[in-house]
Amino acid sequence: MSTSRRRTLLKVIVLGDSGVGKTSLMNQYVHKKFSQQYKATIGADFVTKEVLIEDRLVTLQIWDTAGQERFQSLGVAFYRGADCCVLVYDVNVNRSFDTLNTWHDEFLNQASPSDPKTFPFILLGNKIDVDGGKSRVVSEKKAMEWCASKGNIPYFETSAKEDRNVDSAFLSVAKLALEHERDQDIYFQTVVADPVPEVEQRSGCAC
Amino acid sequence: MGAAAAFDFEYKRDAYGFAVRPQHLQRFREYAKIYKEEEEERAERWKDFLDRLAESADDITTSISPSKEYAAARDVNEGGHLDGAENVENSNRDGIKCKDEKEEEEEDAKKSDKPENLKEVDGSNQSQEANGEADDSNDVSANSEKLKEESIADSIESNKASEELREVNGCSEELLNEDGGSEGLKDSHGVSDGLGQANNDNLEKLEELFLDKGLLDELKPIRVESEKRVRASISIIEKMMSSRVVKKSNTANGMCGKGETQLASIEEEERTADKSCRGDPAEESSDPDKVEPAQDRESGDSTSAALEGGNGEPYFPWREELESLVRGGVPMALRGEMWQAFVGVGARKITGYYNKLLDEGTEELDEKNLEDQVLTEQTSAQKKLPQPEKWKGQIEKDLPRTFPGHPALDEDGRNALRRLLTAYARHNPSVGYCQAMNFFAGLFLLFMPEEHAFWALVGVIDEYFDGYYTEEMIESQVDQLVLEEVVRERFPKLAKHMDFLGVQVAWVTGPWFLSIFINMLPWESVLRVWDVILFEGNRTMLFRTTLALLDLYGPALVTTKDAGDAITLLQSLAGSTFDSSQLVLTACMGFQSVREIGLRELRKKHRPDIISSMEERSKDRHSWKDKKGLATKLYSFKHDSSSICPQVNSKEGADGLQVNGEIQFFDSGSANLETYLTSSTLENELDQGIDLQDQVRTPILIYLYWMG
Repeated sequence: MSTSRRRTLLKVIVLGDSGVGKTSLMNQYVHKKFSQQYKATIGADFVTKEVLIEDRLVTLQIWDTAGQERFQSLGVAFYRGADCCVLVYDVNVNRSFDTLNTWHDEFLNQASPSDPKTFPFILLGNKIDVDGGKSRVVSEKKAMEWCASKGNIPYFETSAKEDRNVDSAFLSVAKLALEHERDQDIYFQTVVADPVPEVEQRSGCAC
Repeated sequence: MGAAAAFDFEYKRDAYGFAVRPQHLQRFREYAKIYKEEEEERAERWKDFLDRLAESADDITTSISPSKEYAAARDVNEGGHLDGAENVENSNRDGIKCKDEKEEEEEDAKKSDKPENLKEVDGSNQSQEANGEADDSNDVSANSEKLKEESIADSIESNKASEELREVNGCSEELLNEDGGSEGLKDSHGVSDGLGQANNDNLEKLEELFLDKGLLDELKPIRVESEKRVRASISIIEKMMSSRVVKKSNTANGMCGKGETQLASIEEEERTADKSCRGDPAEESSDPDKVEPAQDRESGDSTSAALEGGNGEPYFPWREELESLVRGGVPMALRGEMWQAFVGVGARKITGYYNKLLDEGTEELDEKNLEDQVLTEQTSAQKKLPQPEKWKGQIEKDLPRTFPGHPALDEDGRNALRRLLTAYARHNPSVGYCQAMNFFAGLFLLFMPEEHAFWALVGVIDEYFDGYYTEEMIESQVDQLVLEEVVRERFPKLAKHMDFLGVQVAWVTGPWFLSIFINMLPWESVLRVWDVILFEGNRTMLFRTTLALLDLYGPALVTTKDAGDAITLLQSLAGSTFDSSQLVLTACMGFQSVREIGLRELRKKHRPDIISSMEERSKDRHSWKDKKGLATKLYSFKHDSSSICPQVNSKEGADGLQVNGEIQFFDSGSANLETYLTSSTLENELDQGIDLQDQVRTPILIYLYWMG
């Protein structure tokens, strides 16, 4: 029961247009590797990573999603129960920035969190390494403005390729998710009136 | 691997040129030996079967015989110089083309292994279009030759590596030399020269995984000794398999999301025995039988009905034997041919259609324009193109992400892939391009000529997976509901445990189904599963394979303590399912009672849930402010977990679902709690069928962790 020995699971969803580098960011973060040769993600993929935050061991379940729009139809199943949503765009591609609204709203729509207004998002502007930044088309300012308009979403500029800011971005993700999860705990302790059936279910599953 | 540090992600490659994940290398090596033994046995069994089949059909055999000699001859001469996975394609390509010219060239061809032969072969490419169907007769032999080579090339240790490598390099040079001669053969050609350019990097990687040459000799009998019989037999099989295509062709034009289309079952064979001796070059382009189904499809008339002789009774007494052989695996050497026969490429093919599709885009499909296209999409709002082919950008993104590093998918290979996907997208706009198709197309390209790969893709996406890859992906979602139900029935304990952990099986199995296991299982297993799927002509094997995997790994899964572990474990166990025979046999035998008929019923049952949820969701985006019905929904969610009855009746079946192409998202700025509650309940309705407890599960989990 003590918080120190409790293992915390945080579910994180990574969203963004196809090709912005979602899989690469994840792999850089989890496996410390980068390859030009990623395969397209079909449906969704999944990795876990353990992080230590404030002396707590936290397990991030990171869901890497397919960027093609139509796969959003399948999103309901994946998004549900998320503790944080990581939005990714490519600073060199306007369109990937323009669609952020869509991803943001569609996530809320499908995940239907209990606290849509305060649900934690984070924005990553990826591929800042490309061309030494010369091919960049979305300015940091523009991105920050967008973040401000969405309730001060934290923003990180990253390069999965050069491992820039990846760790700090995901650390921030983990913290946000943890906060969110705490809030949820409180929320559900008060809202879920009768925990007994769940406990039963649990014991019933001593497979 | 020497350069390990620099190339952490440069995987080793298997006999097909596919990457082997580093963590699996050890097991792969163990299994490579088993695969080889299995392949030898398999070759024997198939040879025996095909021989007997040929004997039973002398008439057909005779009609084919003219082509056989030079096919064999070509075989010999081609066999020698290609290596590596690229050659599979190459050989196919060449195999296809050489027909008429072949006769003249036969002499030279027999003699040697020299680059000139390639040139000749290449020259004969020009006849390709005309040859159309007849190609196949040569294909097989070429194929077998190549595949043998290939298996040698990739698989095992490295004592022979250096000499092999030398050979390989030599070959690629030879092939390179040929490139000049073959320009202009746009479609037929892309891959073949692409293959030639196999680069040394890849070859070096292949070097470490050579199989010994034994397999080559084992397979020889199939190729040379009984070339004629093989040809004849394949024709027979092809005819049998094609019958379902012919039947289907009446509806083939309406590929657009009709929900589930019932495929004519294999048993319903046509009896028109005189057609489809496709091995005979004489038939080629002028063969009316080839063209007819085509016209059918285009015009929607029902000439094809005439071709449907039989009415449901099994006409092919050896069908069951074939089925069991297929379950045991199609020999590498025959896989390309057999797959084409299974999908009915010959019966589907409409001469000229593929090229026509490619010509539709006025602009050349070269890199530059595509970049422009991407740029256009990114900057201006696509105003230039009246009907923007919005899938283009996605295809471009995925080309390099399709089997990255595969020796066959060099620049020319990718150009072929681009053409294939583009043609398909134009052929069936309701699907356009969906990620995952790049893998299917890539796979087909490894086993058959480009245009044939197109028709194979058409067969799989339009029919086997009708409604799967469309914008709404209805059938894909339906199948996951169906699977969920079957899993609950078959593995109650596992299902319960997954519920407990808050894991939806669909999280893992959704991607399995969508990718038809590509990248999810080791390649040998993927191919074995594909053998069966293509043979059966439906998606039953997806279910059976998944059930088999759960059967194999269920005991491990129920020991997991949290969702992450469970998912990770299942994914990684699946990824290391090297025992492909065990997998396929468990699937086919252990779950034989899971049948298409039953699945159809279940789909029928679950489809309305999906459709109404989709409609609700799209409606929700339009009228999210409308709070009416909220109470009802909440009520029904809380009190009737199995009710999937949104108050709005879905108009009709899947056909009616025209989720408006444009998706309108509600303005998040003005979103309020009710909105989210509303959408939440709507989502719940969708989820009921999948998972009754999901809504509360995660919080409960968290709660439980607090507790304990």
